[in-house]
Amino acid sequence: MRSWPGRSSGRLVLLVGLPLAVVLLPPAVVRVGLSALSPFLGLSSALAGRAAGITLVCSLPMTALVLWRRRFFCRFLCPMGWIVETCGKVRPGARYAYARIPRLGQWAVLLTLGGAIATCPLFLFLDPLALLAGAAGAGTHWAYAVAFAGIVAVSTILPGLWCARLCPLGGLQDLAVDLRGVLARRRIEPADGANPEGTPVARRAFIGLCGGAATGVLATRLPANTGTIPLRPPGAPDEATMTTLCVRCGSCVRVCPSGIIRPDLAPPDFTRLLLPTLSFAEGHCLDDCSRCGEACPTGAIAHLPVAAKNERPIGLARIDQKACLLSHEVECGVCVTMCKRNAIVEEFSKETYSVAVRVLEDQCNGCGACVAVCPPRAIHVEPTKR
Amino acid sequence: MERLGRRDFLRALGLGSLAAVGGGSAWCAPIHEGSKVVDQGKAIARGGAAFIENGKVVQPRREIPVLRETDVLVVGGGTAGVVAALAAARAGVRVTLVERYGCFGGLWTAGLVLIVLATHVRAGGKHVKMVQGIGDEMLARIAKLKHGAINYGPDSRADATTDPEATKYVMAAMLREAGVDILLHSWVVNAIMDGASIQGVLLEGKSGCLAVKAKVVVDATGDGDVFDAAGAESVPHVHRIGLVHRLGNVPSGLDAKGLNLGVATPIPGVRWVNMQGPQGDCLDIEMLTQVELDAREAIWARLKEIQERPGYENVFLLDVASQLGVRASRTLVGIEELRLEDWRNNKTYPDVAGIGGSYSFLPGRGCPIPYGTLVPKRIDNLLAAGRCVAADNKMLNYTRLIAPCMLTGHAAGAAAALSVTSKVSPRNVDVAALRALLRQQKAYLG
Repeated sequence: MRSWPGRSSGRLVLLVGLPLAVVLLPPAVVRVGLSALSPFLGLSSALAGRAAGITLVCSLPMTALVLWRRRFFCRFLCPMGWIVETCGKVRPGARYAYARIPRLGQWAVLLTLGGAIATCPLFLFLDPLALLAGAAGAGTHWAYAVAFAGIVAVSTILPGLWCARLCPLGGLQDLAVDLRGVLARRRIEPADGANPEGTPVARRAFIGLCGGAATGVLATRLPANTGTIPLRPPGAPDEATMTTLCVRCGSCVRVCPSGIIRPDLAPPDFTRLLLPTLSFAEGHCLDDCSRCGEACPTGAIAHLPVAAKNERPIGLARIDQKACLLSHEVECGVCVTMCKRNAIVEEFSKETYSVAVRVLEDQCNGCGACVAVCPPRAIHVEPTKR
Repeated sequence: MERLGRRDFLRALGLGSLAAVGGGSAWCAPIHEGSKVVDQGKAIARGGAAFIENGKVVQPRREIPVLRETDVLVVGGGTAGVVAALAAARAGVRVTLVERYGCFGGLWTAGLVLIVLATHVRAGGKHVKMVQGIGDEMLARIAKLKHGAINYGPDSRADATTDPEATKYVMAAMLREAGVDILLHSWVVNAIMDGASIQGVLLEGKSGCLAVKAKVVVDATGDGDVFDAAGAESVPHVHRIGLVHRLGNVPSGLDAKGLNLGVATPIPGVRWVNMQGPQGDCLDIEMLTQVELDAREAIWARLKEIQERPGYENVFLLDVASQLGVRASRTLVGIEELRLEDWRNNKTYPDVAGIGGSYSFLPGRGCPIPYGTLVPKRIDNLLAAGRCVAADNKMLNYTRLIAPCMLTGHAAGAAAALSVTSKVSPRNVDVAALRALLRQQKAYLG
């Protein structure tokens, strides 16, 4: 890992330039770039989705490259690697000291891929590129910033630890080369000389994959997993597909101009950690925007034209009649005013001589435009089965 | 010009034009007190009775006596009309104000909608007054009266609420001080047109049908009756029609759960209760009649519920509004339109004539109201003010509030005066001069 771009000034340019590039480049470039650079994302999404999607296809050249040259990607291409190495040089005299730490990154890969077979990619969110993409940019959520800061802190205290031992993308490359060796019926010494007596790679792979698959099977059978449906961005598929396709890169979180998409930090179950969920507390899904779908690298959020996106229900607005001002004869009806789809109508009852607002279920797409404007907060969007 | 006394004028007209209008009942009989004749009586300018011709009811073609000739005629003595009349009169032109009822304030007073919404913006804990000038002067004068207003001023977090009688009183006083010529109990029924240019209006009242001629007419009828009669384009709306009432002797501090006791007024123990009511066409008298009758029954039914609650036995119905709460009926198609989307996009206008305060669906900042929303596309010498100005069906829920009505009234009055003094149609009024005049009258324009 010493052959990374050497000059510290150049490194500084990269440090500033990379996050800037993620923000300034068109979402399409970031989207393709992310999949093209990470075989980890490509593999697990293909396994979990049972299909060779665009993510896998994009990642094939890089897969071939890392099989040919061990950790080529980490040395020359990984932006997180550049950042981590720079952090390692902040403390003069700091030394690489991770030899006795097990290769957690490899285990993360195996468990994730195993889980992916059971449609539940367990540690997909640890992908460094996804994390970096999530943390870069002004619109990011604090959870990504915290994760990124964590990696920076670890790398400053224990230089090189992240890349060599924790990073699943790095672990995948090591595994791939080791497995290539097994297939070629010859043993290849680990590059950094770590634990040559460790579990043989084939056994490691078997244990990891089986463990992951078992955990995945268990996790998807949890009672919570069958009941609750959180709100998801428009164009999201059913929960199982969402869990498998989403790489938790936070691209949708970052690009949403209303800031309503946030990583789920309190999911109904562990497998749905960091999936994008919606909060209409301060904004709503705009009717002239489909940027989340555009930014999604895996197609978990379908990239739909704006008009089609508007027809994909996020949920259904529900009005608490007891709290509604209109039913207390207070001048309001703001929800009726704000609904661009005319999905909220006033209904007058001659018996009580009063007005109530009602949601037309076939008109409402759950965009949430009525939620934040409601003075007594009497409206919430209820997720519908997708 | 020396104006003829109203009585002499009518008398002359009644006697002189009887033959010309071809009989009918426009007869001025002497007035008796007991058997003694006390006055000669006035002619009723009815122009003769209608008659049946080929089975159809026909009105005789007749000449309409001209009651007034003025510079600026304001039709409607509600919030917008009163402020418009004051603005024009203070700018130095002759102003006649025509009102269909016997008091000023319209829905603010006779309609008992006592809350003055959208006067200010509250930003960062600070109260920033948007309605200044004549509207605020009026509020300040009302607030000075004992039990005149509550929640007025920068220290209040709630919106100002006034007493209807105090408001009527202050409005009349200000109009008289400004020298506005007032005609009450007169219902404007038609426009007098010369091509696409309005020359005045016809009004109906106990004196019959009379004409008021003016150089500029301000339509502050709320329903846009004048611009509609003049042939200006407008957009029809249906909206909820309510009927507000006030409760007296309302105790405080008791369990009021499930009861709608409305909102506090400046009078202790008196609360005003809003009503949403059914949606309907507010220009249909059958609809209005139905609502008036049903709503009064509903009010009594609710009162009974309140009185059945322990502690509330002595609550009584103080009054029911004498005007139905019509929220929207017609809006003008103006040379500019107030749109919600434009507010959201922070659209700027070159001809801002007032800035309204924030409101539930316009939170956080003021709402600029361009002069173009008062100006009809095609008709000359005519301006709109109040809830009938050009606004989309979302923003009309803003322009109908009392504070925006003050602002559009102020702008219309000032523009009408400028139009008269500079001898141009309101459409061509110099916007810079208008804004200067509004500023001179202490309006806030940002």
